[in-house]
Amino acid sequence: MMSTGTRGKYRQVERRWVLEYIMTKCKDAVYKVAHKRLGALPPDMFTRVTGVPASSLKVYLPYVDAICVWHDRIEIIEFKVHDPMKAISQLIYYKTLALQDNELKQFMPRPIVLKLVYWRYDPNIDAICRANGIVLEVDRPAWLDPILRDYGYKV
Amino acid sequence: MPVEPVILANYVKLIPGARKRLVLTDPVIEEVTIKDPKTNKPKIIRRLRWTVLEEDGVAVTKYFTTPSEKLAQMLMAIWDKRTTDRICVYITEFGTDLAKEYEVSPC
Repeated sequence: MMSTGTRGKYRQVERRWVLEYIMTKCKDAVYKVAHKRLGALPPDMFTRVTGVPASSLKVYLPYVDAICVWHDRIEIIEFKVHDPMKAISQLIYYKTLALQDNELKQFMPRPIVLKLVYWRYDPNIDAICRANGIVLEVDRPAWLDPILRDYGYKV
Repeated sequence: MPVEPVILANYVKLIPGARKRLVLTDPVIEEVTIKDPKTNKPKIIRRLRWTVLEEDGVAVTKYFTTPSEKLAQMLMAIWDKRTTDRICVYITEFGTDLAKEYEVSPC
């Protein structure tokens, strides 16, 4: 008999958070997209992997949670419910990839702003963000609270 | 990828790698019986069906359906934040089979 495991019921958290953020805070952006695969495929990928459509190879690229392009900047945004420290290295990596991205080329040479969206303010996270040129933004939609409580956070 | 010939075009078909602009309304979850492409046996699936009002800037009377939980979640998040009775989205599909993914953004 198949074990049911200890995993709780699946629910959407980050996906909803990202889309809601884009709908409200990036409403007037020139370009906005959620869960974008960033960067360009290495040219040798096409010779190493044959018989697969190029669009399928895109899944080898990492994806960023959201991109909002404004008249004066490109915002690369990562959302974290847990472990915001991970986002620091992710965002730095995404910046490099964004510079190679074909779709984003049309918006260059706007400056790139890296943004971490976290549900609470943490001075230590803020300090490490500042040290790495990342903007920390606190965003806590009301529907997130019961989920955070389920995860064991005191909110 | 070659585009299949379409005669009636009652449904919107996403073409891998191509960004499509859709104006959608009236999401409905429906249960349908399909032939499983891997086992060739019939199975019942739930899918999200939208009425399409515009496709790439052209007014149409079509449906757009997706059995993808990921895509359904993204579209419903946009639907929940709508300010009118419709939503406008760009959808790009890429990848195939289990690696299929969607980039979604509100217009």
